[in-house]
Amino acid sequence: MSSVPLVRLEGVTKAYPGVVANDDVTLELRAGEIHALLGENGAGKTTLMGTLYGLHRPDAGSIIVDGREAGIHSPRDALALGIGYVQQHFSLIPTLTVAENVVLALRGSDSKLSVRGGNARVRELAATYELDVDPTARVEDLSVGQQQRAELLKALARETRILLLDEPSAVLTPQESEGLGVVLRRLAENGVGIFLVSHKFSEVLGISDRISVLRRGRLVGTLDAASASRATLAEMMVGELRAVEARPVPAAHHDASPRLEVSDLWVAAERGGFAVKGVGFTVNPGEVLGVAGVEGNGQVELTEALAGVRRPAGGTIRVDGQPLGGRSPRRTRRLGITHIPADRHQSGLVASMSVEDNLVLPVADQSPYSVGRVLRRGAIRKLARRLISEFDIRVPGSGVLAGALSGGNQQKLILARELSRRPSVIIACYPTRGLDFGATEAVQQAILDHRDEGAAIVYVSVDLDELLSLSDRIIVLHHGALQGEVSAAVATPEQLGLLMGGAAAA
Amino acid sequence: MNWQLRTRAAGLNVVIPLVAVALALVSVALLLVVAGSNPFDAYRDMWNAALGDRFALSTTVTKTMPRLLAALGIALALRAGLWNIGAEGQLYIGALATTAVALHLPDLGTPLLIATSLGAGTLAGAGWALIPGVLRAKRGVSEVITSLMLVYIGIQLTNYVLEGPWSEPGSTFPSSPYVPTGASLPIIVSGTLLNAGALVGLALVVLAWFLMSRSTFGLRLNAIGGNERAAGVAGVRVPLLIVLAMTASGAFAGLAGGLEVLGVRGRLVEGFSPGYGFEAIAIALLGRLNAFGILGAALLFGALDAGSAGLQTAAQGVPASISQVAEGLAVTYVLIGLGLASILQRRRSARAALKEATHQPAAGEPDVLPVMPTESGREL
Amino acid sequence: MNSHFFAQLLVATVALAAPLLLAALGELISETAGVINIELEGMMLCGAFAAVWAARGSGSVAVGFLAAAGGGVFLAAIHGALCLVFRANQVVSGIVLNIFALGLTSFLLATALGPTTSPVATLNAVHVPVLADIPGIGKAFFDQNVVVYAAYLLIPCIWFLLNRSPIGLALKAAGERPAAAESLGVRVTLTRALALGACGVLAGAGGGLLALAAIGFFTENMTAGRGFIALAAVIFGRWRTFGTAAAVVLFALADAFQIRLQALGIVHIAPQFLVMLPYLVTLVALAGLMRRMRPPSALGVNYVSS
Repeated sequence: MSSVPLVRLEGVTKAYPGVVANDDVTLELRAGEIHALLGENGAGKTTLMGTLYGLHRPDAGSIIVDGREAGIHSPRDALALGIGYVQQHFSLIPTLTVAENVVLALRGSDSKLSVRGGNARVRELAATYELDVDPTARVEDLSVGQQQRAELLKALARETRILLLDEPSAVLTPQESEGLGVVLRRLAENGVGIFLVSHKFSEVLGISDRISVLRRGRLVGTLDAASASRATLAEMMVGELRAVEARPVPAAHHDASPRLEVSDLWVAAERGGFAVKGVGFTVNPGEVLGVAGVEGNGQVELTEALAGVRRPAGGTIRVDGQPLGGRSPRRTRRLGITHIPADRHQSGLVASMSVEDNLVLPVADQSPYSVGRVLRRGAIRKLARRLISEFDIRVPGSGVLAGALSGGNQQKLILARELSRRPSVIIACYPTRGLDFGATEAVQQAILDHRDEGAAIVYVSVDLDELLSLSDRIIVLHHGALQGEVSAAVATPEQLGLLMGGAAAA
Repeated sequence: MNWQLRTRAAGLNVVIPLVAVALALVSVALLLVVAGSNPFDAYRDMWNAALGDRFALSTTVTKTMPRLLAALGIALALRAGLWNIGAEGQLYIGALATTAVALHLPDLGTPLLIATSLGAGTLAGAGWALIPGVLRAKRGVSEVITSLMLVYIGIQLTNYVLEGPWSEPGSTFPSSPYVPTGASLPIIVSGTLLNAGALVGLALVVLAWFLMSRSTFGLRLNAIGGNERAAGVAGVRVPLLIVLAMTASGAFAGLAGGLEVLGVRGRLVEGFSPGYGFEAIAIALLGRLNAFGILGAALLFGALDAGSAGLQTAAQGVPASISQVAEGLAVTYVLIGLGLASILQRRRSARAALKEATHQPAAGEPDVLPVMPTESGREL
Repeated sequence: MNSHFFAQLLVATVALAAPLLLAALGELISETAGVINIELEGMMLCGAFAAVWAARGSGSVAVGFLAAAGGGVFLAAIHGALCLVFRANQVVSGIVLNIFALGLTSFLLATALGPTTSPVATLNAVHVPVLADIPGIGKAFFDQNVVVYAAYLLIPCIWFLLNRSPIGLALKAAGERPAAAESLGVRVTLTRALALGACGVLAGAGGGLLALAAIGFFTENMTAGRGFIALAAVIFGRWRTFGTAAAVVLFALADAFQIRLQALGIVHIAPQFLVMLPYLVTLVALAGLMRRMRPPSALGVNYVSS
């Protein structure tokens, strides 16, 4: 390896309102190496990659490429330096074809193509790297895995020397991930330097040459992958090893009749086909049913159908024997189902309304919060004050806008709204995503408290450790179908991983 | 800390429009100087024609009413994030329905006739807005274009009735027959133009304020406007409320058209609205979606209109169109002011964040970020 | 009705469609990049005024057209400043600029131009030898002024620009997924500003054509809603070049038909229904065919790069 690193990030600092995403990070990327950036959600990995790609400017620090200070002010500058970025949310234009996307990406570069020339070039690249994508297909018609390959093709067509990949396996099955690993290895052999962002040490250990760990915006350290162990990496990521939570004692309601019965549930996907295919399960009072699966395998659609946000295409949902169906979050709520949605910004709260208005929204038409159609501010404020203290929401007053709260406090706000109604069924989708440890524990504890009081809980997560520690039983979704069901007491991450990849249950 | 921010933002909601109006008047003055007129003379004449005496004031109020009502309706829909840019069409259809009832049911007796005619206008306006409302709620079609298309359909429909079925041989300009005197709104201050419609207008300001700020309906509209999806997840019946918000919005505009016929003109005249429904959008913005703010903004537009009409009679070579120039500029400056305020706000919070990077906040300190609230959360 | 009627109808349709076509193609470019211009009407109005004003001052029709483009760009620049720099809502800005443009042109008409002057020089028809004498269609297609020919020649050019050139891909990217476009190296704000500028040029020229094709006058609010018809044509044409052009021609045909009927004193079809046709069919199309009508995803949505 040459002595001059391909990229050197020096003292990079980037702050956002309320959070320091990167704090004085210094890192190097060598030509021909796969350098993993490991860290929990919110550790600042994506921000760092965004800075390197020119999506935002660092508040302090410098970026040195090929030994020279590189003024990267926009993605254009990054592209000119040979930097390519495959983001978690792909930067493909869905209405254009794969080839058109590649042509667009090459616009203004030395190797620019005509719109017609794109097809041939893409076919050639796809053959060279064994990336199976049809250049004439519209991106919106492709599967997520194919879209990722299209993203890679884009980077390859630009003769990228520095490739940034953000959580590339989050949308892939384990088998697809392996295929990706082969491609990355080949690229590295050709001298490309690769930053691989991940929060899973298993995938990082297998493929990378060096591993840097970020925690709360700071670089904890860089190790050779050969000398790293899971234990050291875990400690670096988390700070101190998390005390392994005692597996919760399954509550004693199991002989009761099921609270939630789902059978043969079908839910249509946004663009044709089905996102949930004939899924059935039951959840007893006082039981947590974990839902595992690679992200995008129907979890969100399943929970939205259960919550009445999405209309099922077929099948039945019963709560305490009462049938539920159609699309009416209102009716679902009345039957005692509560829903902690996957994306709190998009579905959870109204950022432009005050904390108290958000809290009262589902019950605004009930006494004492309104009389006739007139809101009673005093009663609403009292409700808000009670919930704020009960759920430990850190906020100076109930008139503050919900959008001004930190992520953890926003999630607590949603929990306060959803759990204060003593629900009999809780549908929680990624409820701890992006939260720090304190908030994560508070959220998990609040849900477990309701379990202990007899609520039936459906808990969706991509984090197998979280599922194993919280659930009584775990079902696995693969391409929207039920791949298997295991008891959390005996399940192992490896077993779940196989099921997530589509292997049949043993 | 946060209430200070709120106050500052609330202050901006007052300061920005006031500064913008002042700048607009100065700009128009400069334009007049360039055109070789004396702006002081022009403004004095406008002042006299709009605010100089009781009659002038009543002219201003009369010119304010249709703009005010349409703007209140637009603001109501905007709370839910809905762009009813079709108020102009709803106004025409409302006027048409009011006229039709007033002409065809003359035997009802004054109070009932007025109520029925205005009720018909209100319903017609609501019905006209129901179309974009339902299309938006049921089919996801953007209400912007559909309500705009319905403006011209409504105007042409009115023109057809005036030039076809209601056309009177010998009349030089297409208009309906006069409504019976029993249907006319009474003048409430004799010797002026002030008719009972002004009282309706005031009542509706209070109603709109109540709906937007104190009712469960308003709370739900705000939720939809802020985040339609989250509102639905929280149990708000979004499609129903979208339809209701649009129809309520159209009802305000339809009533405005009816009041214009019964209170001001006594008949339906082709092209009677010089774009009240479009100006109302500017007024809703200038009034920052607040019912009383809208009252102020509508009075300003009404005064500019009355004043510039006075200019023409004063015949000193200053065209009445300067009122539209002033209106356009005032809102343009408001948009610039709001844009600047939010850009500065963003810079300030970024700086605050960087400062925080150097020293961590004490434990337990609430982590609240400065965010500029707008009255309804709409980006305007 | 005889062949003479249809020949005249054809002549009128081709001529009436040209200014609409210019404005609609401009709007198509702008909407493809994600910027909607409710003030298209105002752009045409500014263009028409500037054309007459400059043609008066210079005595040259060509200068008039340059000024017309400038008039459209003037309004487009304000819209761009408000929406692209100050992030104002595009609908509000468009509505307000229509009011402003109407007020300003009326004001300038009264002060700078004077309402009661003689007409300025207008465009001459370019009579294509032989072809113009083809009975029935010759006069419609080969005896129009040069700007009319240019407007029709623009159709394939803009189709190529939008569908076969990298610039078109960049425009679509900016209008479809601005954030993704930015990370592809497309300068979204600049791309949108240029698209908006192109729209200003074309809509302004369309307004200029209204004023300079035959009459040589500017009158208050002389566009009389043509900007809105052009806006409707882009939607009815489903954001495609040939679709938009076809919609324009259909709308112009309805207008020409209405004018011919009125001129002939035929009253069994109320002209108001022909006048409302563009709006009505667009409304019906939006209501009924929405599944196939897909506006650019980020149309009207401001993009803020961090």
